[in-house]
Amino acid sequence: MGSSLPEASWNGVEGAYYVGAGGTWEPLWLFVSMGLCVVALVIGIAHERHAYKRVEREHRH
Amino acid sequence: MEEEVARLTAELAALTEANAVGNTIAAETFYYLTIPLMILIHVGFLAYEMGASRQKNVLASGIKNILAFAFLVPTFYYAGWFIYWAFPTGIDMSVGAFEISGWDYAMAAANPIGEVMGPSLADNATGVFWGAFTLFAATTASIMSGAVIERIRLFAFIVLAIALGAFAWVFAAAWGWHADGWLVQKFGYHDFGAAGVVHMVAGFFALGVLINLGPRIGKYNRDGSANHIAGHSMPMTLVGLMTIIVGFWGFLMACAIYPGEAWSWSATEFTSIYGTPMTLSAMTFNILMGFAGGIIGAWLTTRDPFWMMSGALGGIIACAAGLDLWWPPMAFAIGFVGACIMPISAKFLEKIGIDDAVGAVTVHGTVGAWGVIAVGIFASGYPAYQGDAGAVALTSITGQAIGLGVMFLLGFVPGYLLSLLFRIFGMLRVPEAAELAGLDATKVPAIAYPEGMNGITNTTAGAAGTPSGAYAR
Repeated sequence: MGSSLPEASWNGVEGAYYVGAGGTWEPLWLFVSMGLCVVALVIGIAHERHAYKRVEREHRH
Repeated sequence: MEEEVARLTAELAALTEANAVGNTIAAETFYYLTIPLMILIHVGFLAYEMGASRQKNVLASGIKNILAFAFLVPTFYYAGWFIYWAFPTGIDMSVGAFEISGWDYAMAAANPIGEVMGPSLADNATGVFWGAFTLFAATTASIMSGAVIERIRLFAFIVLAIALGAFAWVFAAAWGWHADGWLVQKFGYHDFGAAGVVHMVAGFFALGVLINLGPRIGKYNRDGSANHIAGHSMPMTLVGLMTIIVGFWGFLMACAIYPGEAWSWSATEFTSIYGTPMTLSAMTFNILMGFAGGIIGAWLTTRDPFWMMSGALGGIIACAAGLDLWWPPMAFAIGFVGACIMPISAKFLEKIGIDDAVGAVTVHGTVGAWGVIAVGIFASGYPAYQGDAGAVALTSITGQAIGLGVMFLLGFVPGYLLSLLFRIFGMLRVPEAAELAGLDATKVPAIAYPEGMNGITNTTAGAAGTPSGAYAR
């Protein structure tokens, strides 16, 4: 990806200049960031469940 | 002579351009600075909720609070900002009277895969506006956070926070906190500082969740009487509440529209979000008077420092809808009344079995409703937006009452239904064993006070406490 500037210079740059500007990468990165949120949540659920099962086991003993 | 005129003309053009650049940078900086100020709201919520938690749950409450903020940032980027611009006229995404709403406008202003939502040298506004609104969203979600401490599952909480912060309140804002909003256009709804669109929605969303979540173990006795479950650090809670007040200056600052820009309503004066003229001076008068009225009202009715600081918040919330309009002593009285309502509301909720650990439903929901209706009672007749006399809806008790009803429903219904779904699937509340052991020991890989606190260790802290009624004295 790299620089989105038309030339190797900041001269004349007026609009969007972020990495990937003017291309078609925006949706990909949007979905990557969404996916990371979902992955974190799913692993978070698993961690919570494991923790609750452990404390319930200890409580029974 | 001609050369002199040409030189002066060029100088004038350069000065005009420099002035415009200066105004743009000042406007950008104005909203940029509201963001760290609003982050202080979250510093406050963090301290407030941790202080209100028992020692065995301190860090779990902190984690919950931090994650609400973190998840609201991307989700508001994905959906919330777009909803705000797409839906003001209702649910059909049509264009409103000022042509700053609807599908096409939202695609141009808030498309999460469009260039507008990234760094651009041609756009000094979108990022800072989005940032300020993101902080509004995170604040809304965090209001619910305190009510549900010490027994909600983290996953359910995060999803509920997203539903509230990235969706529910955004519809409220689009409808009642936008010049094209149908509540504004048709009913003259006025809610300058978001008493309804933020506080009521969040407070009643929390109520819907609390009904399904149920009270903490030890809150109620067999005979139905309630116990007061004291948090582990009242000083931390009080400092947290005062920090929220500091952050509120940023929140309310971001409710004003800076003049002189292409997107401004006015070339020369600040306006409300509806485009109606106002000044920061007006806000200052009324925030401080509402703040003071709230503290003194709560002191009168409770003598309890927790409720006094909640009263400070309640005083500002009570005045928020009309912060741009009140005569300052009136703001004091409205804040005072709001604070006096708090213990009545809190006692009622406790009596019907709602365990709101920090009084969020009361401070934000009930007092927010008072603030919305106060505009209808005392400030009817103001034009709700810009336009000629006769062509503009006016603020009225009817319009405020309709807005109040909409805000209640936008908060309560999704909060209740979503939490009901979680409850049905057994995903809402932590198991009893975890609640008794403490959430920190159950799932947090850190200890809040490794050397104990006041001789109490983490394993022994947290037994349910004393008979309730601190605020009922």
